[in-house]
Amino acid sequence: MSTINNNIINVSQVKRTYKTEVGIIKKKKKEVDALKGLSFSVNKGEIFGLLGPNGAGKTTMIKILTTMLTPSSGEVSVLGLNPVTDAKKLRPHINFILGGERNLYWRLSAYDNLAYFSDLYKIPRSEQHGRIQDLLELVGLQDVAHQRVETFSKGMKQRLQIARGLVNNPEILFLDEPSIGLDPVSARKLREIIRQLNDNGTTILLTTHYMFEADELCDRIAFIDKGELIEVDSPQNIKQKTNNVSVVEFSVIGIEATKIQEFTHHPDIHHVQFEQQEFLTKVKLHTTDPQGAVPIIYENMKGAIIQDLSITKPSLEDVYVQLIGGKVS
Amino acid sequence: MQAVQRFFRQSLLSYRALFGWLDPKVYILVMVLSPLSQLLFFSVLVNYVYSGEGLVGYIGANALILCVLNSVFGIMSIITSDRYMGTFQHVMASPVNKAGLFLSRSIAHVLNGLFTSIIGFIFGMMIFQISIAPDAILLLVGVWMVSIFSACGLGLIIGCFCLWTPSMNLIGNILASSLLLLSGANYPQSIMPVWLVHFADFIPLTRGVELTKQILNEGNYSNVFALLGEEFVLGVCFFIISFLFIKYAEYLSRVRGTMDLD
Repeated sequence: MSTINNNIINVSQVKRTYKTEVGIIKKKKKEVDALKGLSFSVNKGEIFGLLGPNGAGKTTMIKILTTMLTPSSGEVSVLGLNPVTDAKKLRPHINFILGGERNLYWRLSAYDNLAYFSDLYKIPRSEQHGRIQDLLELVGLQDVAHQRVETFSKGMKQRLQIARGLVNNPEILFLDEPSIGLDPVSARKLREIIRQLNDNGTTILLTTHYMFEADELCDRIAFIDKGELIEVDSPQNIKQKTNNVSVVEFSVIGIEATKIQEFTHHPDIHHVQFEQQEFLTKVKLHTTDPQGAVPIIYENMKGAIIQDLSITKPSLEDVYVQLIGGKVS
Repeated sequence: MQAVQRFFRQSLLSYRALFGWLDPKVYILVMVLSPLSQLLFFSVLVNYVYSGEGLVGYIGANALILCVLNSVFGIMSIITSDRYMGTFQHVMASPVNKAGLFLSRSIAHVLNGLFTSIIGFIFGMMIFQISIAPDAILLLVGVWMVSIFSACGLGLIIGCFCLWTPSMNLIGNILASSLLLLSGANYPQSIMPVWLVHFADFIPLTRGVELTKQILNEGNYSNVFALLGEEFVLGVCFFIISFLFIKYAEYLSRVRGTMDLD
């Protein structure tokens, strides 16, 4: 992990409200609060994760930090500059990457894409060639530099996006769900690149739905939900906050969902998480008394077949689900 | 010097990146065969109607009108394709000067439009076995270049509409047929209703068509600078309006949050 020095991003009490009008003749004004007073800071050289369910406000926050959206109220500072009033000064020093296959010119080669974006960031021609070669090497696309992007796989496009985001050698790189839809090998390669970038001194703010990815990469994590901050700390500390909680995990065949929800009535069971699959239901119970929970499970599930019962420490995903998902999810 | 080189590099790369008809087969069908058939149709028609009178001027005017493929549909792709590919928001969030960027993107279409018009005119001259005075050639190229620049300006305004509506093909077709109708390429403007003539004064290509006819039919070069100056000013106004549209879209997206540039 990198050395942490000082704040490079400061977000204080940021709110963003979207105002829309519904209807044609009788227009009704509708307001949606995407961010409700969010505050956090990011240290120089760290990988900071912004995690939350769909609609939590992650992309809105990234848009504000990358000058693409102004907040309704609150203070934002990126590299000591205000993204609202100092957008022109800030833009050369940051860059952003959005997940998915788009955001590239598919009819151009990988090299030409990078050359084009280098020109948009006013990189002198004398520096462009060397930098593009280095970037293509970094993301492992040097052998296909002159192939059209439309011939690339999804993983190659994602990696080229990373290279595109680095053409201006940004001090801060914003990644919005960079590994979405990637196969495990491509996602791992992408994580290696992110780590390598961070080792070279780039501060990274990323959003992701993959908890193991956040756990593996991030120095610190902020959980946000419905525009509000739920928790911000290192993955280790977040997990330690539930130190006295264990997860009892099992699979069960032949039981109704309502029967599983009954576990919530037990005082030592703090969270019930279940996923119904084709033939069985996978259940996770968060409890401070795992030994006591096991007999309760067998008692409640009489007549059902219980398999693969285990007791583990909560993962980041378990903590996330517990914090965001309420009593049952 | 760096900035000038960058301007032309962006022009070329944008053209290759965004213009959907660059595939050789599609290009020949859409950008060569289709315009030539249009030119042939109108040339035969005016030849029949006017019994060959002023034919060279009408062929020239119809050749100029062929530029709408670039000045309407090509220019529209500058924004529509960028948005479709998801690159528009990256472009808008980059430090580049947006007015300069969109102007550079337009230049390639001005040149491509000029190329299509010249090919069309050569084709028309060959079919009808006509020739023009050598001293008219350069002047004609200059007139067409400015006229196409002006048409591209209006095309860019229309291209901005894609930020509000998905029905761009419909709007593009209306503009293309309006240019054909109002420019007077196939009949003298004097036969049009007066209000339509006045309206045509604010439409690009009108002056270009008039000058083309005057140069080719009458060898009259006296109005070139006055009309060409007006056409150029009109083009500059169109570009300024389109940049204001882009600025407004950016405002809606950034401040009001009511538009998604993605």
